[in-house]
Amino acid sequence: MKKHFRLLLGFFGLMSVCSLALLPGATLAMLSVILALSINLFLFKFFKPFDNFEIIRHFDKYQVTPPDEVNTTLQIKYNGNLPANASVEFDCKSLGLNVNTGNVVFQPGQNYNIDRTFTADRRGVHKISNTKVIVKDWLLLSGIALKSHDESEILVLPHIYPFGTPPQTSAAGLIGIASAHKQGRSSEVWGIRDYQPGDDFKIISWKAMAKSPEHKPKSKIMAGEEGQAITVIVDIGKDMELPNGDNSNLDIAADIAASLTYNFIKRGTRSGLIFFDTRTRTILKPGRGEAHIDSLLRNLAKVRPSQDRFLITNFTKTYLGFSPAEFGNSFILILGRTDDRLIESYISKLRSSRELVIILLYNEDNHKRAMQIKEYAEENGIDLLLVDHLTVKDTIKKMEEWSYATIRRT
Amino acid sequence: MPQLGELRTYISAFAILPIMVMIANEVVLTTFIGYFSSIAFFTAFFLIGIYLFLKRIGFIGSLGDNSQILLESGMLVLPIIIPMFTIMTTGNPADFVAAFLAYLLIGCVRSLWQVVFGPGVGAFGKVVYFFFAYMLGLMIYAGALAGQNTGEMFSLLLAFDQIAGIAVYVGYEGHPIALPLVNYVKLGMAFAIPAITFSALAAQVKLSEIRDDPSGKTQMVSSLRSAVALLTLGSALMLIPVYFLSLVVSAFAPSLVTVLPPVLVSGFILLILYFIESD
Repeated sequence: MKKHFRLLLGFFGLMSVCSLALLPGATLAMLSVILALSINLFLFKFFKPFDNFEIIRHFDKYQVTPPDEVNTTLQIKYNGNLPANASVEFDCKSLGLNVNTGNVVFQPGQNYNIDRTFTADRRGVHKISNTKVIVKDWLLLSGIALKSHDESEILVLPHIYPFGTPPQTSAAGLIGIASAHKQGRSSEVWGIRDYQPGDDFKIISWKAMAKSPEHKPKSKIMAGEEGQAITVIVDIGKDMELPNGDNSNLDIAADIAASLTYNFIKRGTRSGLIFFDTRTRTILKPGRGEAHIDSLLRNLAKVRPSQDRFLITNFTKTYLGFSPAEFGNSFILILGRTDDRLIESYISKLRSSRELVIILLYNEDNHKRAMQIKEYAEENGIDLLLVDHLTVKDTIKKMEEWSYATIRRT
Repeated sequence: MPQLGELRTYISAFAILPIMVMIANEVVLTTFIGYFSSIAFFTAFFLIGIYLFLKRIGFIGSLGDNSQILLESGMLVLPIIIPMFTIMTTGNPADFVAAFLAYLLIGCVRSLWQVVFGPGVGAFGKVVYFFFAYMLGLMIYAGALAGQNTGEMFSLLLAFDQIAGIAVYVGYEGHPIALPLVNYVKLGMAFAIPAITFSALAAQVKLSEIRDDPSGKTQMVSSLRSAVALLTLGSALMLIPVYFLSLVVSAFAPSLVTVLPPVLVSGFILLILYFIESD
């Protein structure tokens, strides 16, 4: 039975006792209270204050590069004829946001604005719940909950650590990774390749496009533009759930992958991204341009650890099958699984004519095992960097140096 | 602490007017002074006073369950148990009546306090305390008046007869007496009914507000004062048809005039609300 009905029945019982005791004064007092409570409920049903709320919720940004602050504005307008009690609330559990006005008396025709700022610092897609308005009668006895269908998402991108050398510096240009777009390009044409979104229209080869059998757009490979791409492969298996400092392994892996691909692309190097656990889950072929960066970052923001675990056996087979024309000759594997005893057996098989760097994530629980894997890798001539939440910046720096060396070699 | 800064506290004070008329008059005062020499009367005040003090400082709450029950029942029942020995040994009920009057007085004053100040009391609590205060006040007044008429200081039996009500119709031989101050009580009721309605509604808002926001930062009671006043006015206006219904009922069943109209009206309203809720 509803609360207000229980209360009314209680009063009815008490009033009956009073009337049976032949106490007319007290009986009338009880009846008066019953009537007042009933009028309150009738007015609530009749005037329907719950139909007269207009609520507009707005966030100043829906995609955030952390750490950044997001401002939210809640505009509430009440168009009823009589004052109304209501509370307005919404939340985002993953970002620790909870907006709740508590019970407020809304006067007819008045506007109410609520501004709230919160910090978006956790990578991922964060759901902001529907705005819930609970309208209550004047005595707060009964209420009706209204849900507006304004559920939204805030995408918090991975953290991007910049390379030490700015893209436009002569040093970067000298080692061959200066952005062809930014630095200017030699008129010398080295070859023709498929057009990629983000290519400057000036380098589109209309002649090559006309000659190609399917008339696909082609771009010229200009002097000063590197040829080989770098592909980052991220383990998204269950081990990436493991905590690493305040974050998880996957958060750190996403930060590293985002930083590397972003910086490579900004310096003119085509970069791709692959998610792998037991098999390839997502492939973003190496590319360039803002649209490609956006796609990479969004995928890295959204990725969640899968229920499967990374299999080095399957990875080795898949890795060796990656075409250099599509994925380039340089790979970076960001790995979180350390307890697979087959790593030692298969790590030597990863050695090929390609450049491969393994970034192995560890925490205090598997540090020893990670050290063992590092030794095996070094014995087999494979570069392996150990990373935890404290050494991400150092790793980015090392990878920057590695990339310069790699480009120089190519 | 009494909430003296709130309007509802002062309006609640109007609600106790008829009860004050019944307990603060010459008749009751004479009876009260007459019991000044009674040890049982003072023992009851003393023990219940100590009980209330210990409860207020939190001593009783700090005891274990069994000790608490033992102490509470001991302190509350002892004042009435001691005079019972007097009745058994001497046959004189004067001490028992004195102790009982002390209970009635303490109960009445406590209920009045809750009606006016009562922190944490909702609409139902306010009305229940008002009912108790009214009933106990009536018993005190009627008992004191009847006691003076019969030569006792306080007549316990006639005090109960005053609230026996419909029990008379099922065989109980009650002798309710005519109270000289009844017109003043009725006049007081004219103020008390809207006052207790306003007070109960405001208390309900306050209670719901505290439940929703224990920090008590919001001030809904003051924001909704006009709404509560409107409801009080509405209920007062709706009592007019009840009055006409009472006139009709008094024509064919005068003995049921206190019972039928309010029960019929409130039953009808509850039924309508039930059907509205079912939609």
